[in-house]
Amino acid sequence: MNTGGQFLTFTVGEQTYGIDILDIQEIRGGGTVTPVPHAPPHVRGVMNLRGTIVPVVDLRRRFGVPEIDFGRFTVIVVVAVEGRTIGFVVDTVSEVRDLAGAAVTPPPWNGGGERFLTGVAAGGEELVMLLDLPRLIRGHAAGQVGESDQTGKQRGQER
Amino acid sequence: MEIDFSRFRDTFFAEAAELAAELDRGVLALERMGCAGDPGLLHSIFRAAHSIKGNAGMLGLDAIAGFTHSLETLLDRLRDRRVALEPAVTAALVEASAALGQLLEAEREAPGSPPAEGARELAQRLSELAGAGGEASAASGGLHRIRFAPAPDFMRNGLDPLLFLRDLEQAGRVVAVRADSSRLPALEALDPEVCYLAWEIEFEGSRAGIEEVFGLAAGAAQIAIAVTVGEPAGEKFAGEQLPGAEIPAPAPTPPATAAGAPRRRSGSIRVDTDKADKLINLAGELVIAQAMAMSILDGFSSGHVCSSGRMEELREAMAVLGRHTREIQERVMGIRMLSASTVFGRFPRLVRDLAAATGKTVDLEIDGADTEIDRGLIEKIADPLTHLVRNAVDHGIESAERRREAGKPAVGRVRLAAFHRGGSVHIEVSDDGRGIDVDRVKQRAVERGMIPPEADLSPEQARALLFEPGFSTAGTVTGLSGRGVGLDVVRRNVEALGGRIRVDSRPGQGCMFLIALPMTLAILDGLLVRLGGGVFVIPLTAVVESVQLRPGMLVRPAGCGLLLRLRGEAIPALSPGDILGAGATEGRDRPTANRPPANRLAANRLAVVVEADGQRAALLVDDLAGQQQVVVKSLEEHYGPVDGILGATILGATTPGNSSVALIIDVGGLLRMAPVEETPPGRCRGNAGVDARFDACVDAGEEAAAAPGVASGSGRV
Repeated sequence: MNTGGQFLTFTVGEQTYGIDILDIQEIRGGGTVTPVPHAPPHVRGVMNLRGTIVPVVDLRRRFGVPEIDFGRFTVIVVVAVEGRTIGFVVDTVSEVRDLAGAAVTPPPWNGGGERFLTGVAAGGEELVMLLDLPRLIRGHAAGQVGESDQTGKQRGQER
Repeated sequence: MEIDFSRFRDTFFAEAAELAAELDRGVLALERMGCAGDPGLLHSIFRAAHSIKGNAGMLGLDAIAGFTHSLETLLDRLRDRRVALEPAVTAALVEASAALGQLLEAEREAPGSPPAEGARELAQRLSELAGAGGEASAASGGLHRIRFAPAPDFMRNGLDPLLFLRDLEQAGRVVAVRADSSRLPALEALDPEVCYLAWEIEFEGSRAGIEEVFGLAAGAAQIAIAVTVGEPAGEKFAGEQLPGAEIPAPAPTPPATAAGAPRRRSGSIRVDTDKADKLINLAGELVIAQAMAMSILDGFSSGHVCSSGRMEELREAMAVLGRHTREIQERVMGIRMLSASTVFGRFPRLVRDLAAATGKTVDLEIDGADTEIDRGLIEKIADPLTHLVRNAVDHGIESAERRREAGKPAVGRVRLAAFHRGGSVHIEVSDDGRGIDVDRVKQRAVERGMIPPEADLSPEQARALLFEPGFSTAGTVTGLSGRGVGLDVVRRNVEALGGRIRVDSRPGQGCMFLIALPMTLAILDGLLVRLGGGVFVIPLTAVVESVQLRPGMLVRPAGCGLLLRLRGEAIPALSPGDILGAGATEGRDRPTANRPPANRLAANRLAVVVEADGQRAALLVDDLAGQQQVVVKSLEEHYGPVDGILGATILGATTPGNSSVALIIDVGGLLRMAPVEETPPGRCRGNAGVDARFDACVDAGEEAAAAPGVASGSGRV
């Protein structure tokens, strides 16, 4: 369970998610993404981050939310976790929130097969789902596709 | 203070490898010179041994320190001419140098592993050789470990332990002294007239000498003398420590980072200081140039008129910046380069040992040892080269009698040469041996069913058979085969580096293997192709030709995959779907900038014929997009390995925001993963969107002659 701290919050579909600010490397506008053969569907491809080749994961696809076109606010949140740098495509970045430890509860028990949340923060009116980045990242490496996209799609439809 | 020595280990081994190589070269040169010797050479060999010993001692690598110590002692005696440079001595030195290399390797692979038995015996022999000529240690030169424990009343009896230690220094060489202060009481209980200390001394000299020194102390002290030839405890290597001085506790041998974890070879680079200095200077220039450009820009924004003169100034400043940037790039690439001597250095010994083992006399000639080669290549080319050199000595060069019969000089000649030619590095391995008997090669190939008996092969084609898998394992064809590992492996290794190999030979006169490698692994010449909406790079070394597709050239007969008919040959063809993997084509969408115009005519498609591992394939591409050098970037670092993809590169960085990533196709990997021969006809139809266009090619029944050579981008040797 996450003990709170500063989180970057952003939206994917209707939902707000949060990533520990310390894991964020930078936030970029959408750039050119080159698809990679044999990649799992939620991996859009790779992009050039100042000379380093970095994978780009579409969180809409990852979470099974219906896709939309890249818009003006579409951004790529670049995180650095476990020695790897990865970009996440999100709808919009909201703000940096200070989530006191007390406000964060463990992830709900009915989380389904994919446990990529570390907790849920009730920040004001909306719920902020705090992402477990190491787990989320493990699910997409080229060699280990991890949890199937199917699960995600089903979850999306359930909503 | 605790010092973590483990981080020095890598440095030690890098340095030790260089020193050991120097030592080896020196020792071999010494052997060639015979008894004459050369003081300068001896000195440089001695220095190398001494440095290894010192460094190893510091890191507590006892086995290495001990071994080099005996080597050093012998070299020292040789320098002083106390021992004559006899054949037996040089032979021992040559052997010792090889053993040292093995010790270093063993210690690096498995820290703390006990030294091989052979090394110990060898050390003993070295010590004996060293002792044989030294007058002072005539009786039994060698290392003694002496424990000198004066009785408590030693000093009361008018004796001074220090005097004994000084006398000992006169009698031979004191290697190390360690004071044992364990009997020392607390300060308030200390009696200044009582001798509490004892010493452990490593001493090199005769036993008689020791007994003479300590004769006076007999009865007043406990003296134990043990011969510890070749095995001084490295932890006690304190070099020039004063006798009696307390020597700090030795650092234990650092434990392996994690037991069981495979030890990765360190990826550090040692760079010449002047290379680094030039880079530092250039970086300074870069900063100045940038500041200049910035100040001009500031002038613009602070309201000055944007005159054409100032524009010109800015342009000039940017040009300077660009020049410096390019130079830095070139020099940084230069850091990756090593001289060919780093890999050639091992061959004098290999040839010497092989020649000795086979009873031949072989001279090794090395040319172009200064040729710079990418360090990544150097590491990987060593094994194929070793194989070729071994072949040359073992099978190429004939015995002395045979050579005389053939009217050749009795001494065989093997030549290694490296040179740059046209953007690639060439390495030649040639010998003046018996050469390749083309007829026997053909005969062998027929026996193995590799060619039909009636096949009419040119000598060149026949020689190319040598590189085919399954050929050289035949083993019985003298002059051709190695020891099970064949030339096919050599070829595969060379091709994996993006290189090519070929062989030339004249029967009776010798043969020559020529390896051509790309200048660097970090940059490759690529053919840019459009494929399924994106740009891909095909390494030019793998490209044979590119052909424009005409109706009827692509066929898909029942029972096999798509084929390209080219000049009467059927080449398996890979559609974009095969190359990109199912689903990848539909995924290339919005974020991709490189979209091809939608409706191209099927007749405009191209096939790029590629070759890897002796297999050919035609990659069906949308278009050629040019040819350029690309910098290879790692895809694995943050993403992971991808089958059929070698890496990535960044294209079109005209403006910072507009650079896109292009993937580099690993032709060998692609061919390995695509079951070219067994593709069921319907398999590729999953990617109907892309493949339909090619199907149009297939189905347009008209048979047209092949039109070879649109932009033939051949990178062949």
